[in-house]
Parts: sequence; structure tokens; C-alpha cells
Amino acid sequence: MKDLLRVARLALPLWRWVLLGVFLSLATTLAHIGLLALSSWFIASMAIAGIAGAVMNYSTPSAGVRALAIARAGGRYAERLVNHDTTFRILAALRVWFFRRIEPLAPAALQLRRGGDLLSRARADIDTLDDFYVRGVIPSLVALLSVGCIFPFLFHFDARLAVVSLAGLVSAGAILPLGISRRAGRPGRERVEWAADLRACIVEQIQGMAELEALGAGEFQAARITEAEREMDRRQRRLNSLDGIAEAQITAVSTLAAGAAALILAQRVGEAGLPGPDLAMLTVVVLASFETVRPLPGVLQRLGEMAAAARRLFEIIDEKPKVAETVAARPVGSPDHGVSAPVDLIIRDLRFRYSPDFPWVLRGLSLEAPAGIRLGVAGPTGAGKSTFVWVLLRFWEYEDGSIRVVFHDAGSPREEELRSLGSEEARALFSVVPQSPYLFHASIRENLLLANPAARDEELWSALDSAALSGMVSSLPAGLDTIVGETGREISGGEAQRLAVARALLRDAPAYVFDEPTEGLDDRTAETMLASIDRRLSGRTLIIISHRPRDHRGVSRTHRLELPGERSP
Amino acid sequence: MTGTSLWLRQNGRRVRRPLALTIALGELSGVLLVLQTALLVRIIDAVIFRHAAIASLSVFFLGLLAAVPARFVVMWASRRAGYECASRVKRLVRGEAVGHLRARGPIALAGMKTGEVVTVAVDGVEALEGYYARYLPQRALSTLLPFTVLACVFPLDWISGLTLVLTAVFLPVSMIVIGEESHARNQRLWATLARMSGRFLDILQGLTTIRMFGAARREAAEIERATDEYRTATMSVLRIAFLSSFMLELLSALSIAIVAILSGLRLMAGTMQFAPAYFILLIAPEYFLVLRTLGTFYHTRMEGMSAAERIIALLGAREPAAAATAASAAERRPRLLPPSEGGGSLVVFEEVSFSYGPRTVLEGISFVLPAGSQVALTGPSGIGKSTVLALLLQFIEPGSGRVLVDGLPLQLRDPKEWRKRIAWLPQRPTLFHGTIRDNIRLGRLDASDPEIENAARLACMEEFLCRLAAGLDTIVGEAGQGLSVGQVQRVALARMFLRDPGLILLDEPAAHLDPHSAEQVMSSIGLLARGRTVLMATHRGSAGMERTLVLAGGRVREEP
Repeated sequence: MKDLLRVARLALPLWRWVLLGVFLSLATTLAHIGLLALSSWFIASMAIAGIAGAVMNYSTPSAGVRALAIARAGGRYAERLVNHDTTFRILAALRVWFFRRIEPLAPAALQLRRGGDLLSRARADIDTLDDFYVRGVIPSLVALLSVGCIFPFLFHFDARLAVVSLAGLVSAGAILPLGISRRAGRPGRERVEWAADLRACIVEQIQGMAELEALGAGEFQAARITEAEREMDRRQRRLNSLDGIAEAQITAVSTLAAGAAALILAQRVGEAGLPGPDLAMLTVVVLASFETVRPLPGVLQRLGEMAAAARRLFEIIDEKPKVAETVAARPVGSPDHGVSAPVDLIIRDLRFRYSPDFPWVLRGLSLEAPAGIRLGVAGPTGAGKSTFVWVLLRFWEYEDGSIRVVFHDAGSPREEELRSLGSEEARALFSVVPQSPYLFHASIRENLLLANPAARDEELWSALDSAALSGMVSSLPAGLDTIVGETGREISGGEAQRLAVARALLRDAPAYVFDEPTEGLDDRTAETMLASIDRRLSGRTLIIISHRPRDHRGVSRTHRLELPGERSP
Repeated sequence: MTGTSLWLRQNGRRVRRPLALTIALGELSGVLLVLQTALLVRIIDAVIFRHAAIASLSVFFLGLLAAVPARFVVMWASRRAGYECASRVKRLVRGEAVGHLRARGPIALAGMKTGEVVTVAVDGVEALEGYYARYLPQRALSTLLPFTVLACVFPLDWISGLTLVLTAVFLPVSMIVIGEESHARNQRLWATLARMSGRFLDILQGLTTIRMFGAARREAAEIERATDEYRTATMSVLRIAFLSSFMLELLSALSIAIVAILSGLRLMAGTMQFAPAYFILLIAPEYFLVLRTLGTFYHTRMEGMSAAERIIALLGAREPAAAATAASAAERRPRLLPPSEGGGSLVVFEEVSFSYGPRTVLEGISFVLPAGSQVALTGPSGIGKSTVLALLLQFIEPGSGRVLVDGLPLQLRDPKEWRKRIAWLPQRPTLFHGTIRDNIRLGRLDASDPEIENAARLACMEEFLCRLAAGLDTIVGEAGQGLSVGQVQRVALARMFLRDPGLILLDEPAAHLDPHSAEQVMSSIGLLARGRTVLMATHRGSAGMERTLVLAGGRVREEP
């Protein structure tokens, strides 16, 4: 509940829109009830007049009937528009909020102990919370307010009638659904557990299939999947059945309430001379008023789900960043943010491990990279090449040793420890191609502009050219506007790597770190590409991480990282 | 018709009976509603116009009271029947999805993104529920119920009946004219939402890249701008799209108003009775049920459609029936000869070639493993050592050439039977969720507890088992205790000790182990290997094997 309140507060800046949506929904609902009520009153009055042989002024009530009909349709239209609009606004607010909070956590604090589906679940959770406003908060407020309008109206005619209806509304809209959702708690939790079990079983089926088949245990695992599915289905069936009860009880209670209303009012007609048309009208009001509480069982039912979604999101964003900011962040985007002066890097006895329980990944790494050097880093998989990049970028905190940065600004050189720089300032020192670069599902142009939003098309082409990719891109029908990324045009791992190289080249930085830049290229093209990069980056530091000796031909020094237990020759 | 709706419809045919039951119960609930309304009208009419005493109406009150539980039960049962439809479809589709994965085999599966497949097989299939449990029955009822209402209205008052029919004439017309268009727009709205959501996920997944380029603030502004832009664009579309539903809504509200006014005029003129007029007014809203459910209609339908699309993509765009035959085709390979019993197997590779798509890995390799021989297969990583093992495990079949075991081509053996004669230690063995004991038992499902304990001892597991409070009953796997690589290796080794293999396949058994564990694992393997044929893939050294085969450039040569 606390988490939901925390979420609700996020929508506070949008309270005007929420309120407008509530007001319009309320007006529509009341117009609907009013239409049926006034029509009933009208025909009953006309019938009495007909029997008495009297003439009744029917133009006012029939105009009212028409007006309510139009109000209902118009209200529904306006309400749908406003509430859709609000949905989008809240969605934007939630996404920006989540992005701002999760950004400092990437990648270190998001990597440990959680699966890769963390982010896609976060996205689904945000959608769930967005739904919470439109299908949770607004209908609840509307139900509350319409009951607040209907109760005094009924009370005006008969106190007993008002109390009986209120009792019916409260029990059908709140008490019974609460009881039902309490019973749904256990199957709901168990359903989630079995779903997780099913997920795990299918993961095992996929990842362990070779072993399962080799061991002759394929059927065994299939039976486990079937069992998890059956158990999950049983819980889901129970929940559906409870949902069905929640739905049907509203109808049942509304009929009972209408019957009770007819009984109470019939007595009043006989004893106290309540006008007949009032009986026809009030019975309909009682019956129709239950429409307002119809969404409530669903809201209550989903409250747990909403709270869980909120809790999961807060769990993520309340995580502490792995790299503490030692310096108050400078205003980013200010011109002094970029570093254009050449820098020397002096790394001494760098030690790093992902956590104290894990083995050391970097064990006393020492290297020097004076400004403008071409440096190679080699080593087998798992020797910590990528980790080294992450540590340089301040995504992870190094435990021991030092990374000294010597700035050759105008005037005398200034030396600082990497750790003492703000992490954004540290990252401004490097332009990096990581081992498996991420391409956004966007055009090639947009992917490149990420590195330098001000770059013109000529600059993009020249960067692509240096990355030996201009031929490929210009052969595409859509050229720079070709969509790449997950569901975009299939591009090979090597092409993705080179697109990332082009991207990194567009960024202005003192040092460039490229991880496996020539993947998928033949020796000749690779050589041309490295030479072109070398020319382009003259005066800048270039560190090439690769397990291919050819990539290290042009470097002045190669540093080898070793696996634990191996000793360099 | 698109493939997606065809697929949805075909699966709908598999649950015809529960679907019919759901619809019938929904219709029955509608009839009960008519009955209840008639009773309520009868009571009110009697009180107002016949000045009846309440006592004389008790039979009607009792009738009303009796109808309450009846309708409650019918509605509830309908809901449950609806779930039954969905449940059956879910089970069938998921069964096919899992069967399909197994039919593709471990090698083809290695290229798939596990997370995506699991999401489709679990959540994607669950998302079909709304479509079968609610959308399909509701769609049928939205045509059935209006006829039920008309059947009640016409005998009572043809003018009101005609009013409703006339709006009904307008309804389909306007539904066709604007409905089609609004359907297209709804689809676009849905697509827009999905795209926005996809873009957001894309940004989250690329967060590290964004930070690397110091673009975080820019992207935050971009999310806001994009969502806002989508909002403005979508809202301008919706303003028009909602007009169509506004027209329908207006039509239904006005037709109720017209029914009321026309009835009122005739009531005053004395040409009509109050009771039928009141009754018609009260059940007229049911006539427009289709409108009330229109919004949720689209939502559920779209959810079902997009889930179906993802499932079809997983199943390889095949129709349900076709998927089933594909699975059984894989089963239909010849299974003529049982494997030979006892001792080590004699393995012969004759000019065996294999390629993964365009990439050729093995180019006509030939070698012989005599029964009981112990051979190392070396070469740098990625050269095809695991492919040789996969061929022996019958996960793949040679592109050309033959693999013979004990003189018989492997193609003629039933893979299930043949694999019983193999003990395979994969490079990175998998731990399945469950106890360590369960994990060892996978080696032979009917192994007894003492056999398992013995296997654990032979695999040198005692050293770490005694450090676990629950010993062999420690829960491991996904949510359980993490074991180190070396410990997992030993669990897999214990599995092998439960088997009686003619051929032992080892894939880099010591690659991820520290020297001490490697020594232990190798000496356990030595125990098992006595008298059996062993093939060990390794990228360094011959590791104590009798002979060494070197794989290079798609060919194999014997190292002296």
C-alpha cells in the first residue's frame, strides 16, 4: 500500500487532468442513471394522466429525456478523450521518472543477481501502473462520488430506501469483493510461484536440452513442465471462479436491492401516498446505481498486482549505485564538460573483483598509455579485457591500485586520480566500442548521432568510411535511414561492431578504446580500416583490445592479460 | 484473412463444446434477466395502477427472490465455462510450443534467445486467455441477446420494437461505415502504444551505451518528447475515431429516449398499457449490449492477436495441425537396430562432413576409435570438436559420410536407445532445479538412493557435500544454492557413474577447473573409463589419453 501511495504521488502534477476525467466520467454515469430514471418517471406520469383523462405538460420532461440522452453520449466521448490523454501524460511522467532513477545504476547495479528480463519486466510494470490510474483510481473515485450523489437523492424520498441501497452498494462494491480478494490471496501467490516454476522448467528445457536428451530424461522434463502448467492452471481456475463470483454477486445484490426498494416504496405508496411515478423512477435509480460499483471488484482484485509492480520498480531504483560520486556532479552540458586536452593514463597494480566473494578479475594490472600512443591489449576470454573497459569508464569501482590521469591543458600538466573525477567527467575521457555493442532499434543515422548530436551527414559518412562500413551502408536502399537493431535489418555481429566503431569515432575524446573492432573482416580490409582509424585519431590515444594478432600490428606495445593460473612466457 | 486470425479461429474450433456451453449459459442469464425485469415491472405496475396490497404480491416478490440465486449460478457457471475454453487452448498451444522446441533439437535451439522463447511460452500463451474466455463468447452474445430482446418486445409493442430495429439497421450501417475505419484506427493506436513501449525498452536496454556517450539527459528529454509527440498525434486521431463510437452511443441513448417519449404519448392517449412500456424501457439497454462491450472488445481482441502473433513466430508460422505433423515426422526416423550390449563401443567416422548453414565445419573426416580405446580430440576452440560429439550424440546428422558404431551406421539406430549407451560430460553442465540427489538421478531415473550416494562418492563429491547442511538434499538450480563450476562438474560426473556406457564423451572436462579439482575430476573419469571407449575433446594437451587426434581446417590427423 505504501508503494502505491508513492506511485500515486508521481501523478500529482497531473491532478487537473485526473480530476477532469473523474468529473466527466461522473457526469456521464449520472446522465445514464438520469436518463433511465426520468424516462420511467415520465411514462408512469403519462400513464396516470391517461387514466385520469388529464392532459399533462410533457414537453419539459421529454426535452429533459433528450437532453440526458445527448449528455450521456457527449459525456462518454469527452470522458474517453480526456482519460486517454491522461493515460499518455501519466505514462510519459512514469517513464521519465523511472529512466532518471535507473540511469545512474547502469550497468553495475543492474548486473548482479538479476536476470536479463529485469528491464522488460520493468517496462511491463510501468504499463501496469499506468493502467492503475485509468482503470483503478478514476473508476474508484467515480464510484465513490456517484454514491455520494445518489445517497442524498434517495434520502430525500425515503431514509430507509437510501440506507438499504447504500448497504447494498457498499456490500456489493466493497465488502463482498474484499472478502473475495482475501480468499484469492493464496491462489494468487501460488499462481505466481507456479508460473515462475514453469518459466524455470522451460528455461531448463531449452538450456539443458542436449543433456536431457543425452541422458534420456527428455520425457521426464516434459512431465515436469506439464505438472507446473497444471498446477498453475488450477490456481488460475480458482481465481477466475472467484472473479466470476465477484461479478455475479453485484448483479444478485442489485436485484435484491431493487426488490427491497420496490417493497419499501410500495408500502409508502399505500400508506403515505407516495406518487406512483416516484416508485417507478426510484426503483430504476437503485437498480442502475449498481453500475457505478461494477468496476470495483476488478480494481480490488488487481490492487495486489499493482502493489507488486510498484514494489518491484522501487526495489530496482532504490538500489545504491556501485560507483559513489565523490565529487558533486558538475552541470553537464556546460562547455567545460568535454575534455579536449591530451591525457596520459598511468595504471598501477589495478585490482578488481565483482564482489568480495568472487575471484579477482584484474590482478595487479599495470600499464602506461602516454597521450597519442597505440596500445594493444590481448588475452584469452575471461581474462578481464571487458572488465578493464568497464573499470576505466567508472561503471565499476576498482578496489586497489591507481589509475592516474595526466591532463596536458594549457600550462603545466595536472595529474588526478580517475576516482576523484566525477563519473561523467571520467567517461568524457573515453570513446568506447564495447565487446558486444548495443544498437538501438532506430536508423543508422540516429544510432550514430547518439555519439555526437551535432554531426552533419558528411561527418557520419566519413566516420562510416573509416570503419570500413560506408560501402555496406551506401548499398542499402534506405542508406543512413535504414533501421537497425533488434527487429530491424539483420546485420552481422561484425557489422554491428564496426557501426559501433563509426559511432565511437564521431565522439571527441582524448582516448579511444576499441574491443574487437575488425570482427568479420578479411585481413586486407581490416588493415585498411585500422590504418584509416590511425590517421583519423592522430594525436589521440588508441587502445585496441583483440585476440587477433593482426589487430595489434600497428601498435607500439601490446599488453597481455592472463587467465588465473597461467603465467606469461 | 490474416494468418493470425486464422490461427486464432482454428484454435477456437478445438474448444467448440465449452464455447457453446459458455454462450448458452450467457444467453440463459439474459433470459433470466428478462424474467426478473418482468416480475419487477409486474409488482410496480400492480402497486401504482391496481393499488394492490403487498401481501397479494408476495408470489412475485418470491419469484424475484428465487431468480436471484438462479441467475447468480448461471452467470458464475458461464464464467467458469469460459475459462475452460481458454484453459484447453492454453494447454494445447503450450504443449505444441514445447513439443516444437524439443523437435528442433538442442543444436538448432542454441541460437534462440531463451528469455524471449520463455516469455512467449509462458506469458504469451497466458495472454490468449481473454480472447477465448471472454472475447469469443461475448462476440456471440452481442448478436444473440439483441434478438432475445426483440423477441420479447415485438409481441408487446411493435412501435417500440420497430424503433429498436431501425436503430439496429443504423447500427450495422454506421458500424460498417465508421466501424471499419475505427477498427483500423484502434489497431493503429494499439500499434503506437506497442511501438512506444518497445522504444522505451530499447532505451533501457541500451542504458550503458547511453551513459558511455554521456547522453542520459538528452535521452530523458527524448522519452518525454517522444511520448508527448505520440500523445498529440494519437489524440488527434482518436478525436475522430471516438466520433464513431459517439455516434453509436448517441443512437442508442436517443433510441431509448424515443421509445420513452413515444410510449409516454400513447400512454396519455390511453392507447397503451404502462406495464409493457415500462418493461420495454428497462430491457432496452440490453439491446445495446454490443456498445457497452465495444471498448473492452478491442482491448481483449488486440491482446489476443498480438499474443497469437508472437506464438506463431515461435512455432515457425505453421498452423496447429502442421506443427503436430512436423513433430511426429522427427519421430519417424528409422529405428531398426538395438545397440550392442556390454563393453566398449567401436566407433568409425567415414568421410564425415558437416556444415552449419553456409559454414562448413567438418570436411570429410575419417578416424577409428577401437573398442576400449582412450582418445583425445584436440584443436583450438570453435574448430568443430563439439560438432563431432554432437554427431555421436545424434543431435545432428552428417551432411555426407557415415558414422558407424560397432559396425552399424548410426542413422539406423534409435537415438533414444543409442544414447542410453553414452555417458557425456558437457563443457558446462546444467543444474536443474531440485535437490542435488535429483540432479544425480537424472543419470538414470530408476537409480536407488544407495546407488546415488555411491555415484556421489565416486565423483569425489563428499568433500563439498559435507560442507552443505542438507548434503545431497540441498536445493540447487535457478532459485537454489549456487554451486561452483567445479562442483557442478562433479554432479554431472556422478550422473555418469549411474550409467553403463559403451562410449564416454568428455567436452573440455578440466577447462574451467583449478588444478586441484581438475586432478580429482580426471582421476574419477579414469575409474569410469576402464574398459570403455573414451573420446575427450580438449583444446590443450592429450591429458593422459592413449592417442591424440588433431582437428584443423575441417580435417583430422593423428598426432604421433
